[in-house]
Amino acid sequence: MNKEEREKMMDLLYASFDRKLKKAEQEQLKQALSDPEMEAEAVEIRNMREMLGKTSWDYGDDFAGKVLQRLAKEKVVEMEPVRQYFTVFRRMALAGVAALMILLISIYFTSGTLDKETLFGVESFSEDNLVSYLLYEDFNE
Amino acid sequence: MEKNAGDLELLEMARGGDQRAFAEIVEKYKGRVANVVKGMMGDVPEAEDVGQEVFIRFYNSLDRFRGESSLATYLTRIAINLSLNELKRKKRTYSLYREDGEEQRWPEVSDEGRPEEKRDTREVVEKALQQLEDGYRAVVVLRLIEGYSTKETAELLGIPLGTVLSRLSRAQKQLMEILKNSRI
Repeated sequence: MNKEEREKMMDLLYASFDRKLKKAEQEQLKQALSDPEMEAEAVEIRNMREMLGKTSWDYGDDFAGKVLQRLAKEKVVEMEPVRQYFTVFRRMALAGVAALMILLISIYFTSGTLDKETLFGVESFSEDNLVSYLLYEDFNE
Repeated sequence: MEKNAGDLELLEMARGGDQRAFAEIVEKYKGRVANVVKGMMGDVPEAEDVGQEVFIRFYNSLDRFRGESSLATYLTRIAINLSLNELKRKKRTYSLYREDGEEQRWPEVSDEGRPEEKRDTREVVEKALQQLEDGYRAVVVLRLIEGYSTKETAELLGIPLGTVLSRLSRAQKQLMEILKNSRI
């Protein structure tokens, strides 16, 4: 068997472990395996594949616990933006309430009362004036 | 790959928020995930993070898992994709810091805390695997270590069957050379 033929047979040999060879290929390989060197190669490939098949890894005993811890942490991180929105909203609401209080106090000190006319700024209007004000049309336009 | 009736029950419970059921799934499949992730990355500290990430991604997609493939295959798919992504990310990071263009080898694998009887073979296999290109290694891990068929391997990696077969053949030749040089 020359070098080229040998390489071709080696390719067939490797392929024979992972796909069904055609009849002609099976015959070729069968003949090639009568060569002791090729037979030894076949044994080595089989041994290597067995060794790979037996190789295994694992994670430690506390692996599941670590996964659950990470999940819990990620949930906290996910909640963080929502919490920030609430904080911002609370601050804005507090600022609004403070502004409203200042406004009410200033109205009370200037007008001495907090009735609704004062609050809406219509305290100086008599009801008659209000009606004529609302019905007023500017004929000069 | 077989479907497990117990898995469906555990899944339902996990979907309902039962953390113990989810922990049981993790416990049951962590070995398989470790085989894929550590087979791809070596037994390096990052392999643990990637393994955890596999289960976190799975947890976040619990409602999307329809059971069309087995849970093992579903987790294997996540594991192989995350491992390949992490390897790409690492290569990018290394290439940023290395200007000489020399090929980067991963840090040496640690032997700490391993049972003695399995250590030697696993160490040799790990070192040999790390010398393969990522695409070749993925095929070896799925087909020869995890025992998937060539068709399943092609589906998991999203590559044609012919590519799986040619990569397998080349990868085995390279591995054989490496192992012969290691005198195993």
